[in-house]
Order: sequence, then C-alpha cells, then structure tokens
Amino acid sequence: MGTLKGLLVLGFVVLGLVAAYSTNGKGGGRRNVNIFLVYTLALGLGAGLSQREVWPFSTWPLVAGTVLQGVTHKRVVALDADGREYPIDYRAWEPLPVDELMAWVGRYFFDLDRAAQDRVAAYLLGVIEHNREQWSTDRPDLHFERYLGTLGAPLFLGHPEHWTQRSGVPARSFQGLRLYMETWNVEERWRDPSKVTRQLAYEYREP
Amino acid sequence: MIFLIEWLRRAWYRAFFSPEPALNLACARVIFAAHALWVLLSRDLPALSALPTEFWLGADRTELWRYFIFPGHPVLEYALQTITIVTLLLAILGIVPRFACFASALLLYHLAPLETIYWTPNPYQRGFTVSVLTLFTLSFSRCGDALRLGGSRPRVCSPIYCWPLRLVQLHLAEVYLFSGTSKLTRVGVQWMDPENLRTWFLLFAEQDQVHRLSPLFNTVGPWIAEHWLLCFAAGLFGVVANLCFIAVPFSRYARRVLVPDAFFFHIMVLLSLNIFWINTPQLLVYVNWQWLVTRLKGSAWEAAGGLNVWAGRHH
Repeated sequence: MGTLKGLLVLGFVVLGLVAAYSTNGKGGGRRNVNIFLVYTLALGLGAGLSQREVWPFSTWPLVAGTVLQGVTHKRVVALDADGREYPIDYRAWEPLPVDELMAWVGRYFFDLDRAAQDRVAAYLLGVIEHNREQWSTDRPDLHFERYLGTLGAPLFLGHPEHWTQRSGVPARSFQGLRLYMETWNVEERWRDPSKVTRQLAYEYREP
Repeated sequence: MIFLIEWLRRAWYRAFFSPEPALNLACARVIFAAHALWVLLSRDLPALSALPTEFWLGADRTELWRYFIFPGHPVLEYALQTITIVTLLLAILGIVPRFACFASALLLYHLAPLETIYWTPNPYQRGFTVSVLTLFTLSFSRCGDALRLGGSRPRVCSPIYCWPLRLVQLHLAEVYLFSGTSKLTRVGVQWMDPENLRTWFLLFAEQDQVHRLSPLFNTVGPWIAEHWLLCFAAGLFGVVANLCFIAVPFSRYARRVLVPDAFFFHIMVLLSLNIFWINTPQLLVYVNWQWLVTRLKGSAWEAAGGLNVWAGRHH
C-alpha cells in the first residue's frame, strides 16, 4: 500500500513538472496545466472524502469521533531509588514529542516481549534522567526551543510545565518508570474529580 | 447538456485562469516557506532517526521506503535538515525560488514523517502537510516573478499567476473541508449532537496532562460544556463552517466572512480544548496583498500630497 501511495504522490510531482516545463515558453501549456490541476484535485478529494491518506494528501479527521463515557488514558511517572513517584515534564522526553510517544506506547508497547519492553524503558529513563540532570544544573537541553526559544511553534496539545512552573526539577535521580492506565467516566469525574481508577500496567526499575 | 458543459468550462477558466498579480503568488511562496522554516526550527526531527530498534518494529517497510526513511542515520538527517533550512531561506528571499521550493518540498516530504512514522505514516497536523503540497505547487509555477532579490516585479496581471495561487489556496481550504466531512463520514450528523460536544469539552478539561498553564485555557471549555446552546453552536460550527470553507479560494465574499471566522474558531479551540492549530498563520494566503499594497501606497501618496500642500502654503 505504501508503494501505491508513493506512486500517486510521484504522479503529482511528475505532472507538475510537465506543466511547469510546458508553460515555460510563451503561451501554450494550458492543457498540461489542466491535467495537473484535475489530477491534483482528484487525488486530494479522493484521499479526503474516502478517508484514505496519501500523505501529503491527508484526511484531516480532527476531533472526528464520539467520546465514550468510559475513557482510558496512559500516565507515565518517574521513580526515585525509594520508589517515590514524580510527574514528568513533557519537555523531558525531547527529542520525542510526548504525544507521539504515548501514541506509540498505546499501539505497540504491549506487543513487545518483556525484554524488549525493558530495553525501551531503559532508553526512555536515560532520556528523562539526562534531561533532569541538565535542568537541575540550569543547563536544559531544549531540543524544540534550541533555535527560536519561546517563539517556536507550540505542540498540537498543551502540556503542564512541571519543572519550571510547578513542583520544580526533582533533586533525586530517576531510577525507574511506571506506566498507569487511568480510567474514568467523563460525567462522573466532572462531578467528582476523584472518580478515577488507576491500574499499574508496567513498571521498570534500573538494575 | 451543452449549456452545462460550457458553463463548467467558463467557471473552470474563471477560477484558475483569471488575471492575477505576481505579488500574490510571491507572497504565498514567502508565507509557506517561512511557516515551514518556523516549524522545522521548532522540532528536532533528525534526532528521531536514532530511536532504538524496538520503536521501528511496527513501522511498515513500504511506508519507510515511500518516504526514503532508513532509521539509524541521524547525522545524515541533520545534514538534510541543514540543506532544508538553506533552501527555505532561498525560497523566502527569492533566490532561485522555483528550485528552492522544489528542493524544500522534497526534503520536507522525507523529514516530516520522521516525527510519527514509528506509529503512523500520516503526519498530518504537525505543520508540514500543507507546506509540502504548496511548495511543490509553487515550484511548478512562476512564483519568483515578484519579491525576489535583484529584480522588479511585472506590473500586469496574468493567468499564469492564477492557477498556482488558486491551487495553493485550495490545498489549505481542503483541510477545513475534510475536517468537516470526516466528522460526517466517521460519525454522522450525530457528531453535532450537543451532548457529544459537551463530552469532548469535559474530556479535555479533565485531562490534567493536556493543560496549558493560564487558567483562561481551562475555564472556557467547561463553561461552554455547561450551556446546551453553545454546544449546539460549536457542533454546527465544527461541521457547517468547515464545509463552507471550500468556497474561500473562489469567492471574495466567502473570504471576507470565513477567514476571520476560521481565525476566531482557532482561538476558541485553543482556549477550550488546548489545541494549537499550527496552520493558522497560513490563512494569510487568502489576503489580497496587491490590493493592500496599492491601498497603502495610495494612502502614503495622499499623505505626501497633503504635506506638499501644507508646505506650499508656507512658501
């Protein structure tokens, strides 16, 4: 399927080049421009209306769903040597965007065998611990703000800045991770914020 | 039947081959190249090439080939990113603009999916989707006849500046169209049910992991959720206004209403759902820059004339 999608995009580029070449001289070339326009419109509308992406001709299903009353979301927390839990600042995962990481965890992490899960967890722990160390010495390694600082393009979703605005950077080093599945009923939790069930799905401790 | 075909033919030519100033097309080039550069400098896409093997196990091989992605080469990806930054700057400045747009589009077609390819091959809404389409389209057109270093722009309007501009505007308008149609095809008209909208607003308000810091962000959503009429309006807005947006590239009246409306919509979505719509600056492509420049020049000329008159009275 990926090959077909690649060929469809290649068609867009080739027809565009043909249109560009044919309009380089004086006049003429309108037929090739029309072919390019029709192909591009057909591909764009075909992808969008059928909801089958041929990126960069995409489907844009933004908030295109219904929310079940019972929802489950993931939460990852860091552990120190005593097993105390800490919230993780979303910037601590950089260069991984936190939402992409959580999406990957939801789709693939639990298909891995335990040894592979532990290798992933060790890698992620290394990333957040490195960032914690940098932040605690006031030399944060900000991958996304490296060039433009606070003028950089924000992420799609906003996330709390635990390490600068809330609890601050934890002084103790991270030695483990816990992944929880939090389940709640939307209406119930709105009436009572404590109505959340938390289930431990995975835990990793540094050997 | 013949009448209908003739009408369609005329409509097609009016839409894509009307005389258009070179400046508007050149502005599209600057807007999309600058936007792509802004997003590129706000991420670290090459670093994701160095993710451990386990991350790539679920990625489809053909999808990786489709984007020319071969994991494990971050140094190469950083080199490609540097080239992309240079080509985008060239496109902005109007130095070899068509080549710069083409090279930028090709490089972004490769770099952008790095952000998500390990879990999805569809990296939409990350900031590059429309840019790749538009930069390719611009490279096929005479997008460098204005706003370029070392050249003056042509004074006459021409159809050769129309079809690429209209297509670029369509690429962006389709985002809104499909945002509307996807709700109808995936859920149906019941998506607009105020109860559904209420649940969305409440869900985003309840997720403490997607909160922005200012209290303003986390109070608008629940406030709307508590009002049936506002939820109804939000549902209607989310589908009907999005569907109508496809008229924007073709109608100045639609532009005057729906572009400011979209801007307002993005602000409301940001405040109520904490969702930042990264394509918002691209709405500038619907501005008639030639008209604006002419008007500003006219005002400046009038002001200068006024000064002369004032000066003349004192001599």
